[in-house]
Amino acid sequence: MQDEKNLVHQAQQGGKEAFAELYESHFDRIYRYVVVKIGNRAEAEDMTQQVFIRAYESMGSYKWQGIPFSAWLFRIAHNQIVDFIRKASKKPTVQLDESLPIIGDSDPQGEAELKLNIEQVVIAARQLTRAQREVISLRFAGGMSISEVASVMGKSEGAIKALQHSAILALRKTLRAGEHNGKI
Amino acid sequence: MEKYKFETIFNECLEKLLTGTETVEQCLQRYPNYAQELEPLLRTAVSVNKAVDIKPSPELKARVRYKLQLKMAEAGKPRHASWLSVQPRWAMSMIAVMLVFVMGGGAVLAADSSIPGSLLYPVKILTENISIKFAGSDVEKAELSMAFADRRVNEMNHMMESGKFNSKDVEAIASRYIGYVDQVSSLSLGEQTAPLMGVAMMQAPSTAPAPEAPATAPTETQKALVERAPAPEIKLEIPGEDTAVVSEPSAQNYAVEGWDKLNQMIMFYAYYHPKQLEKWLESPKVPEQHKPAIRRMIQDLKDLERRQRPNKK
Repeated sequence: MQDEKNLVHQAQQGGKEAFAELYESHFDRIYRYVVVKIGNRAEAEDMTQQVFIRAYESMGSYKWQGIPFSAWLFRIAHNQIVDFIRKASKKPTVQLDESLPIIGDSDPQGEAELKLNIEQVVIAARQLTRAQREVISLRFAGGMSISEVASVMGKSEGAIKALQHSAILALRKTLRAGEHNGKI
Repeated sequence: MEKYKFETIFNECLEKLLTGTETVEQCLQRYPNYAQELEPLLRTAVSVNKAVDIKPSPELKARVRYKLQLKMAEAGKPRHASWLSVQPRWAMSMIAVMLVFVMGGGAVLAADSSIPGSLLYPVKILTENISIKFAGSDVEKAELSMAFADRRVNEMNHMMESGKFNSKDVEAIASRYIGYVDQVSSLSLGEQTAPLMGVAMMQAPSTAPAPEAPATAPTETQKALVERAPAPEIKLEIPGEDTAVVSEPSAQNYAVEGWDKLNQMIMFYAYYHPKQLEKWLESPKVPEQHKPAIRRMIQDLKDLERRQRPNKK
């Protein structure tokens, strides 16, 4: 695997192989991020496709100035999601089956890992603030480091760490509550 | 202060969990005083991390890769084309310009999106045949034939979705499709080595006639031809024993040319065409009398794919 900076440079010069390598490296992360953000796999597939086509068309505008290429891609994805939500503002943006099976509560102390699926996480994440949700999406679905998330969100690493902690705390409460009332 | 300290410990442990350098238990052992508070949060984080670890389907990745290929081909081809490779397109542009004069540009463009039964449909078929005739090499002819076969599938889908079709049109589309697929087959046979010829000869060749140009004239524009020309360069990772190329995607896929590119194109369509056509075989909206033609299309492409398979790298 070549250095990402070189790959980006080659892709900007029209290098197909270089862009292909960038695509292979980042596709899964972008897809997961979009699914978690909008909760609809069919829409997420189309949107992920658009992210890469937009990235290919806009390669010339990307400048390597301390912002990782992945951060740039996630920004494109974020903008697409914002557009999508704006267009669908009068409809529910997440079309998931909310009557999901109850999580088995064989561990009353809450010490075992919860057996969650993606839909349950998406539903629980709705209870988070926008910033908390973004941190969870970028960090877990996008697989980004704290510094990369900070770069994408334009915040300090300390702020991202605080958001990450409060988000997990809130998710824990929501998921446990969901367990007890049978919603999640 | 205490809250800040806990937050720092939590983030440190989480970082190690996510990078796989530590387990929940190891972290709890390092911070026994915080273990009770730490454990449920770390386990929640691990659960969330597992839940969102979903994989896009190979079909999705193949589809997006294909779209990117087309974008790249549009952007890259003119810059790198040699004079020789440009020549057939140049000839086509002259023909297109002449026909624009004769017919008017609007009519020529409209022909490109025409469907069977429409007045301009023969124009579309004629231009396809001219394009193949003017293609510079056998591999270019084969690529164009494959691309035009794809048009027939789109036309079939369009007709079936609209519910407006008759036996004559369905048969005509199937026959042209089979003609193009067989043309690809014969062109690529000439390229194969002797042992592969042996494999290929064991397959019963289809007897469907190659597509013929209708008696009436006109054409389409060079732009339309150039748009059709870039062939998809794709490597599929499709699960299932009878499906073809199953390998890790690689950047090399984006740079293949010639017969390798054609092979990838065939593998791509060998997956998508049956998928698109089979739904009509199951549809109660499609009368039984039309289904044999659709089955022949599917079978012919599968035969081609099987013949090409030993040739793949």
